[in-house]
Amino acid sequence: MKKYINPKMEYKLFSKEKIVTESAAKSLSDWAEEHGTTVAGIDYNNLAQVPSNIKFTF
Amino acid sequence: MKKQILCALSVAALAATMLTVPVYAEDTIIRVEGKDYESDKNWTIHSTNVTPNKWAPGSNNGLNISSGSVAFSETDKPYASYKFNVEKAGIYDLEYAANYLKDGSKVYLSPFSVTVNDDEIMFAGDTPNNSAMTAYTQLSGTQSDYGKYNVPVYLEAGENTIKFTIEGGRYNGGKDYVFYLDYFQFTYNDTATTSETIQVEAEDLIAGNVPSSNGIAKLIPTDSNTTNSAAAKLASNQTMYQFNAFNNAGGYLEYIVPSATEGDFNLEITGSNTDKTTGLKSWCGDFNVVIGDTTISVGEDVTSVHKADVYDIMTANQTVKLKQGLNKIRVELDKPDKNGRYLIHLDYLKFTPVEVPEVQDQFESFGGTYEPGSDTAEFTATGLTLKDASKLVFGITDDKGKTYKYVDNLTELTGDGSANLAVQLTGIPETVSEIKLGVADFDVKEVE
Repeated sequence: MKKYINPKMEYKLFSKEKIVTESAAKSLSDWAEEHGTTVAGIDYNNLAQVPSNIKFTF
Repeated sequence: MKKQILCALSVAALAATMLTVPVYAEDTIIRVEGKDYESDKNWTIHSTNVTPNKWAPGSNNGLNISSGSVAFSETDKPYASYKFNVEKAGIYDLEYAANYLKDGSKVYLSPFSVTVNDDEIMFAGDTPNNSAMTAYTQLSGTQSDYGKYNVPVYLEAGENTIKFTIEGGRYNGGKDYVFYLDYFQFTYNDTATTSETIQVEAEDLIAGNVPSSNGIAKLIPTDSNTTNSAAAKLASNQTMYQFNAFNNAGGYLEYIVPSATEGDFNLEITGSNTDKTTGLKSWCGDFNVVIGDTTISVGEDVTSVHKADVYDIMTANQTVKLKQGLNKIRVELDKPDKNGRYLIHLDYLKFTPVEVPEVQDQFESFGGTYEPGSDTAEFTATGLTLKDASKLVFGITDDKGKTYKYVDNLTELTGDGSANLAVQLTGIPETVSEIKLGVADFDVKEVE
C-alpha cells in the first residue's frame, strides 16, 4: 500500500505566518497545562513529505 | 535572430573525446551546422568514417557518418553528440534535418535516435505519417533524402547535450550504416514554457508500432473520410485522426509531452469511446494511456459521448503525473473491438495543472520558537478546529531550499480534534535555517 494525496480535495492552509506569542516566555509544558493540553513530541525524521503538487505560501 | 555557433579552431581527430567549450546563446535560437564538425570542437563523433555529405540541401555540405570498413555494432553504436550551454531553462523547439525515415523507403539510411540530456526522442523507422516529420528536400532518385523533424524538448540552464545515435545498419546484411545530418536548431518557446496547459494533437505522434502487412499505420483525417466524418465533426468540429492499420494485433502511438513543471495534471482526451457502460456501441477497441511506468485505463471518467454512425467519440478526464522535461506518452491498444479489429480514433491529449484552492486563515493564535542550528523547535496553537483530514504542516528552509512536511496523525495528537496544541519538534538537522508552521486540509488516501 502506498499513500497519495488526492489533489481534487478541498485544501486550506489556516496559517501563513509564524507568529511569536507568549509561549516564548514560558516553558512549553507550562503553556500546555494552562491551555488544557499536553506537549506532543514529534520526531523530525517521522514527518511525511508533502508532494510537490500541493502548493504552500508560508 | 539566429545565432550560429562557430569556432575558429580546427581539430584533426574526429573520433577522439574532445574538450568542451561552453557556448552561450545570446539569443533564443541556437543553430549548429553539421558541416562544421571539423572546426567546432563541441562535437564528439564516435565513428571511424566521417566525411562531408555533398547532398545536404542548401548548404552543399553536411555531416556524413558511415560504416566504412567497420561494421555496425549493437554494443558500440556510432554517434555524434554536441555539448552546448543555454542561459535560460525551459522548453525549446528542436528542429533538425537528418535521415528521412518516412516509409522506410530509403534503405541505405540508418534508423537513429536523438537524446537531449536524459530524454530520448525516437522517431521509429516505420513511423506513421505525422506532422512532426516531413520531407526536407528529397533529391529524386538518389539515396540522400533528408527529413526535417520538429519536436519540443526541455533544456536546463547551463550545459546540455544532444546526441544522435545510429541504431542499426540498413544494408549489406545490417553491417553498413549511414547517417546524414544537415543541421539542428533550438528555439526557445516562451509560450510553451510559461503556459500551464499542454495540448498534443493526434497527428503530432513521433512513433508507432504498426504490425500491419505494409508496415505503415494509416493516419487519416476523419473529416476527409466520408465514412467517419460525422463522428469527427460531432466530437470537436475539428480534424480527428483514425489509426486503423493495427489489424489483428495491438499497437501503440507515441507522443512527446514537454512540461516546464513537475506535478499532477488533468488529462483530457478525446478519442474512441472506451466506456461501454454508456450503452452506446463502439466499433473501436479499448485503449490505455501509458505515462512512464503508470498505465491509465481511459474511460473511467467520461464526461461526454458523441454518437454518429457506428462510432462513439468520448471526452474523458484522468489525473496523471508529469515530470519536468519530456514525458513520453504512449496510447496503447491492447483490446480489440467486438469484431476483433484494433482501431482507434484520436483527436488530442490536453494536460491542465490540477488547481490548488485559495489559502484561508482559520485560527485564533499561532506561535513558535526556533533557533537555527538547534535540533529542537516548539510550537503552540489555540482555537484550531481540526478535521480528520487536517495536517500540521512545517515549511522548512535549509541549504537545499524550501520543503514542506507534515504530521500524519494529527487527530491522535489532539484527542477530540479541537485544538489547543503544544508541539515539540526534535531531531532537526543543523542545515535547517527556518521553520514555519501551518495547518492544511487535504485528503490522504490509501491505494494499492
